[in-house]
Amino acid sequence: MNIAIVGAGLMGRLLALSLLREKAPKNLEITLFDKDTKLAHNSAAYAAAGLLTPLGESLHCEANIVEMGFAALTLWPNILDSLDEHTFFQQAGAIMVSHEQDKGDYQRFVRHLQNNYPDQALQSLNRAGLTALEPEIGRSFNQGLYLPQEGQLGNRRLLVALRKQLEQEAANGSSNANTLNWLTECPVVGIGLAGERSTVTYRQNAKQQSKVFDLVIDCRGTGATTKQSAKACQPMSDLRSVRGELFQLYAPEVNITRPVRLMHPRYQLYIAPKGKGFYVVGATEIESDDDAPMTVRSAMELLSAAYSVHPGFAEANIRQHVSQCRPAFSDNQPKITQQDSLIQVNGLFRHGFLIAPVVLEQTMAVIKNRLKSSQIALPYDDLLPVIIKQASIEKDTTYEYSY
Amino acid sequence: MALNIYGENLDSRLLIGSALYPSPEVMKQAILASGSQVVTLSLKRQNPAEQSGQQIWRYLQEIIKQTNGHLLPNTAGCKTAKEAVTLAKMSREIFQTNWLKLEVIGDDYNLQPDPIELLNATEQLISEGFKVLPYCTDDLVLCQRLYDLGCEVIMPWASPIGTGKGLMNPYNLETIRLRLPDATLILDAGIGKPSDACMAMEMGYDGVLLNSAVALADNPVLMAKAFSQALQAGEQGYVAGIMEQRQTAHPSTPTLDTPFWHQS
Repeated sequence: MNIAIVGAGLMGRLLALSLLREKAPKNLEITLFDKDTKLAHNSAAYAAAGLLTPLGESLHCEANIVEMGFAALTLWPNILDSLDEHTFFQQAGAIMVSHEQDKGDYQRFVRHLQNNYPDQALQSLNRAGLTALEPEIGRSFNQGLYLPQEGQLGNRRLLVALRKQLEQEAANGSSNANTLNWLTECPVVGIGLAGERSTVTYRQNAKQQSKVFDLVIDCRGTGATTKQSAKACQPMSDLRSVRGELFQLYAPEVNITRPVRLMHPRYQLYIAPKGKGFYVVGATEIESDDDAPMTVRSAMELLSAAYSVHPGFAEANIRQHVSQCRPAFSDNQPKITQQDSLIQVNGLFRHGFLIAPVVLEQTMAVIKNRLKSSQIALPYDDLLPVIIKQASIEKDTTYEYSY
Repeated sequence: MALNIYGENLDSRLLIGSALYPSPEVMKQAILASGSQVVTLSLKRQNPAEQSGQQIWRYLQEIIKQTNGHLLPNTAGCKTAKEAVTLAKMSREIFQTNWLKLEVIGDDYNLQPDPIELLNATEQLISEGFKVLPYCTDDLVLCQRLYDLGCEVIMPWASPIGTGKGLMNPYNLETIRLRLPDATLILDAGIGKPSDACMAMEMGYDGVLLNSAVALADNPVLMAKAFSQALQAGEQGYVAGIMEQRQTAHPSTPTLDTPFWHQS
């Protein structure tokens, strides 16, 4: 049984590792195609903060994403424990604050949580309560909200840990005789359905080649948009890019231990502590597929936000500014689409780390059903229904009004 | 009764913005529910030179096709006439329309339009063939000057953008209506509740432009519908002729058991 995974971002790596470890069926020959190097510096997952904050996101996403976020919080520790390299994971809650002029947005958020998630423990904090939790930001705000279930993980460390794990387990070989071949800097230029199987056409060392697979799993992210993808490469017509920008700051004088979200009329601004004095400050959200470096305006907005939360950021070093496009469908929902031997997983938008374990389990169930040609119940059908496309129908009716 | 924008007759009197929705899909549903035929969009942050926002533009164009409507590009975020004129020309090229919501901001705190830059930009753009819909403050003289420059549509604010504070100065707004009876007046910005929009229509305004009030509602689609109905109610109320207010109560049915000299 040979399987192609196209795209070695977060989903590609997680799927590759799960398949490599799969015991039934075994003898899987996995090929992982990626146009990037193993560093994944062009992946959306690299330009993220690794926030696991379902309630913090809830105002700007639908309830099923929040549910998936909560499920993922319980699934991540198992995934991380199965990796040899340690990845930072914390579930010590998050804090939401707002400046006086954005109080309207803040109240709207509180009302939203009370109406939609009445069972979730949230704690309104006054200045003293805020100071008790995060002594260094208490002086800047009169009030805040503590969301004790929220968490975060080290997103870049995880990409590295997954790479090492894949390399190591592929090299060591395993009892199930599965193999992995990771082709880097190897863009895929065609994905074609050929009866029960699919072909992948790719360019390696300036040479174009084709290979037939029993199953192709496409997780190219923004690489699957109609703009970036050749027509022969199964582009997803409804997929778009949403630009996000963030800073990595080194601020040893600042001591914040939990993710802090700041109400802003347009974006969800956050400061994510990364340990050892590092912080990630993000993120803008712009309807654009431009991947040029950060604009001055975004820089000013993000940095002034950080400074307004903690004046210590004035002395921080800017270690990196990142801009990257994230893949989203028009309803901003992730989608798993199956068309015979082609499974496409995409549209994780700004929720990659938040929901990845759920998307992984659901996709693995779809894959196993396909490989064994049996039907087991999909674990998350209520939260993430799988779209089955008919190969015979050219036009995809699901996206009738899509762009 | 149709809304007249530079000779184009539209069935809906609601103009709607395309920012701040939870997702493009919700935006689409809300626009369709509102019945609006004019959708504004901003190019400012989408690098128009590179056309990097074209996915969302195409999506909006699809919606417009369904409603038989128009895109109204705006110059949100511009602070000088020069900036606004440049962006306006890009918009015209990209969207193939002369219509332009002209927005030149003078103050960062309340996003108040800069009247001087606005007049300068309006003059230049009209001379270049644009159909300008200027977003301005509720200053009668400013509106008069814009009208004199050739703006057939004028869009005074109700209150600052995104505040949802409603009609802050009804007297000013009524005065503009009385003094510019032939202009198409659209109340733009600051609308919070459907009743705000209704009030503008009862005053005789020709239309209402809003965005946050719908996009930031708990249920944007339902709110869009509420606004559509509020506008209709207000407009019909205005056309039907609103009764004069009176100082004392007046029974609508004469009471037979009261002597006539005791009535009224």
